[in-house]
Amino acid sequence: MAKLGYLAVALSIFLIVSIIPLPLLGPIVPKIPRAQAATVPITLSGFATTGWDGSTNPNPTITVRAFDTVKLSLSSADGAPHQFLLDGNRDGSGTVDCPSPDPCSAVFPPSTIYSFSVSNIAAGTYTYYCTIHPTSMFGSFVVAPDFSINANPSTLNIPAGSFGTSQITLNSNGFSGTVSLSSTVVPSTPTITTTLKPTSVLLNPGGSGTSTLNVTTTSFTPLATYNVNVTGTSGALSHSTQVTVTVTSGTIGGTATTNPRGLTLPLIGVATVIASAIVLTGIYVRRARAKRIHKPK
Amino acid sequence: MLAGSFLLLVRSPLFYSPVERTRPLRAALVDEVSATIPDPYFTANVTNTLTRIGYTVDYYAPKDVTVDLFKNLPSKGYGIIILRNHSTGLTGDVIALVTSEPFDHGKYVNEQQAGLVVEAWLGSSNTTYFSITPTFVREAMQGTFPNTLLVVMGCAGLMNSEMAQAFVARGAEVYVSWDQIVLANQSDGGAILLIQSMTTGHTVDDAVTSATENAPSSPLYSSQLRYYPLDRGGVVLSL
Repeated sequence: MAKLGYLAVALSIFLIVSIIPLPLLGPIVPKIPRAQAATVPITLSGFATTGWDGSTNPNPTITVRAFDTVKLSLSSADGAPHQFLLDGNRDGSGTVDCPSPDPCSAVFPPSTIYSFSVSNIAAGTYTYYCTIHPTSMFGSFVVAPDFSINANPSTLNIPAGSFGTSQITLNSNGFSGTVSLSSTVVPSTPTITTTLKPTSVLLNPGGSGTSTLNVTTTSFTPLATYNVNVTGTSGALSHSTQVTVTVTSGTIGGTATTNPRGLTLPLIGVATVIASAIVLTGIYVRRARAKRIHKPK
Repeated sequence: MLAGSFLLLVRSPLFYSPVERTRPLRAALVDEVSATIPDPYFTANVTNTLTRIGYTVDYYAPKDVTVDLFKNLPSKGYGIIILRNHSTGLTGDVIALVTSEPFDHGKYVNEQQAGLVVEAWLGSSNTTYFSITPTFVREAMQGTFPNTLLVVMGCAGLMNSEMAQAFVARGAEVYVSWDQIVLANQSDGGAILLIQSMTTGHTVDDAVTSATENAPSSPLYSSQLRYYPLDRGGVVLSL
């Protein structure tokens, strides 16, 4: 009986746990900060009377980070023609500024995919709307402050034992704060060391900063291609850039003209052999002829 | 069988008892290669290793590596000389050590005619350079090496013993080099290990064996570090 009781309790616990929604049990996959400016997929369907996604009041608010690329999947849900436009300069001038500074899609139906980068749009809140139905199909488009990170050059060829440098540049779009820099080498090897000077950069909104990445190899670094990942982190924001490092070497050999002494002796030898052969053949032929002439008949 | 047994005996460490000779605590690092393949890690490592045991190290940058430098090298009194020079042994004609001095048909005319210096090409470069031959070492060098340990880092410096014999005849005690084509990193790593081993009391024979085994390997060439003469494997550095 006791065993049956334990079994009933265990079954109950199992049933209770299995009906709890997964998010309430805590994250299963750890949250990973976005490493680089991302491509953000957004799906919108157009309704002339009820707005984007049929949600007139309000239309959906779209939030992306500065430097992101937006990939819009647009479709017409009501069969009417629509065109997406983001008022990037906030002047409300419609398609006059299309596609820059106002990113805009082609007119659809039935559907279209339109990608654009917000890297040239200052952080802030903008309006997106349908150019054909602007009074019902409009919503807020938020470009959140962020920073970008880039390396120049992004490839280095370094002779084993030597070193190379790359300039790491950080640009802010509305972002303000200190960005800490770190670097890792993949595949990992103790024979490559990297340093960043400085190891943190203070960014002001719209400003930029630099750090110098130094990659040092040893004579024992295996000849191969490595990736040096440089990551800038500020709070929850984290972005990376990559420098490809190829460790090279070369032979320590050259090609010399033939040693004059070494060349002369064999040449003299060969010439002597040829001359002797000619002379001996001549003597033999002469003697043979002479024998034939003096042969008694 | 007899020859094999003899070779085994000669290569055996038991054959050697360490031989310690007096040589100046001065070393030269002649670095012609760094004009095309710099290795500051190698330079710093070898310099530090030798300095730690009391050597002063003179560094000869590419611009200093001329025919004249080689001419006067024996009389400069170096106990250790490391020649990080390209060499032309791989052509099979002659082992020649490349200088940084651009070749000129009108310069060193007598030496050219006598085969003391030859013209050498490095890779695809159009510039050619004067290179010194074993005949140069025998006939044109001035002075004698003071029991010098000579490390020749270029390709195939011991492809045959011609260059080694010339240096030994000029007073060098041991000549260490590669028997085939070698990559710069392989040679640099090998030389670092060789010097480290010798500065910790190992014989030339032990150091050469260890350096060959542990130097960076090449995907293309299987060059081995060797020394000449074979009966001087017991040579050690004074510590």
